[in-house]
Amino acid sequence: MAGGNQQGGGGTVITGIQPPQKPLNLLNAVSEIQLYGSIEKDLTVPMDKNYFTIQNSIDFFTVGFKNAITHLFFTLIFTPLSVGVLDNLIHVFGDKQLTTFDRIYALFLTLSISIGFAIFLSSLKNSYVGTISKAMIKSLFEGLVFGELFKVIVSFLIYQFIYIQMTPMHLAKFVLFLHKYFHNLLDKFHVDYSHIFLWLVNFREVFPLSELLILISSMILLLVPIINIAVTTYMQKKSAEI
Amino acid sequence: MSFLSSLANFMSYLFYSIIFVGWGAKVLSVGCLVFGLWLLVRRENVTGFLVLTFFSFLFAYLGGILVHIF
Repeated sequence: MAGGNQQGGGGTVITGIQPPQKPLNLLNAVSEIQLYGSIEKDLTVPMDKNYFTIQNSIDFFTVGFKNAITHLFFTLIFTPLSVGVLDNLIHVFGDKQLTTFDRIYALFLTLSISIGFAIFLSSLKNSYVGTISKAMIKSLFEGLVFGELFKVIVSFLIYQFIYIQMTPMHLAKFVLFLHKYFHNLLDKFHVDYSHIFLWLVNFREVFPLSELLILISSMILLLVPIINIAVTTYMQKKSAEI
Repeated sequence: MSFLSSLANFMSYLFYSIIFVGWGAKVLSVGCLVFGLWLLVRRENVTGFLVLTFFSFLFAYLGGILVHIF
């Protein structure tokens, strides 16, 4: 963090700079990058890259990695539900007749977290200016890339495991288990066990598509801000040349 | 007693028929999602965005689950 700066004739002279503080979460990291971006924008002499230490780099990497991991549980639960809506297996909003809006909305809802964070991270496009802010953004995105990769691999393994285990034989055993231990409760709601079995057999097919949807959402989260930053940097270079 | 049972009926109607099913659920779910995205992008409130997205999911899917059960 800058301790103070004085405006000279040729440019800004930094009188005291503290190294970047350890970010606790994504918001802290983005705020710190914006702060350094705004300081470095006015500098005529680039800051020494050693201000951003290896420890700082690890801190920013960790924030990016953690941010991707925290959504893992949320994504694992809701992605198959969304694909279930697309396959007409789940009635979104309680309507048995699904409209085109319902299907598009279910898809958008699943991608909303990635789209939201992609737009949020795109705000860094104006901060990619100096050595320190560039190093901060690179570390944060390295963490995000590794976190998203980890998320995709873990979700792929979990969904594949569920897909392999949900054989008609296992599902039949599960329905028999329900009938054996919960028939008192389920009979009150006039539950049709063959209907449950058929629904589960059909629901098995949503898992391969869910893997693809998680991959697409991860790519949206990473590619949108990276392309945004690259295009803005290119435009700034072009306008500086002119 | 009849007042309480009327109130209970009204509450169940309110929750089951308006909030979690049909247009009520649609408006609440879309509203939560749009407000959450606005909080994230304009106010940089990450927690608010995640909480509202969760509620958006809840309003979207709980109605379907209730319809399946009852």
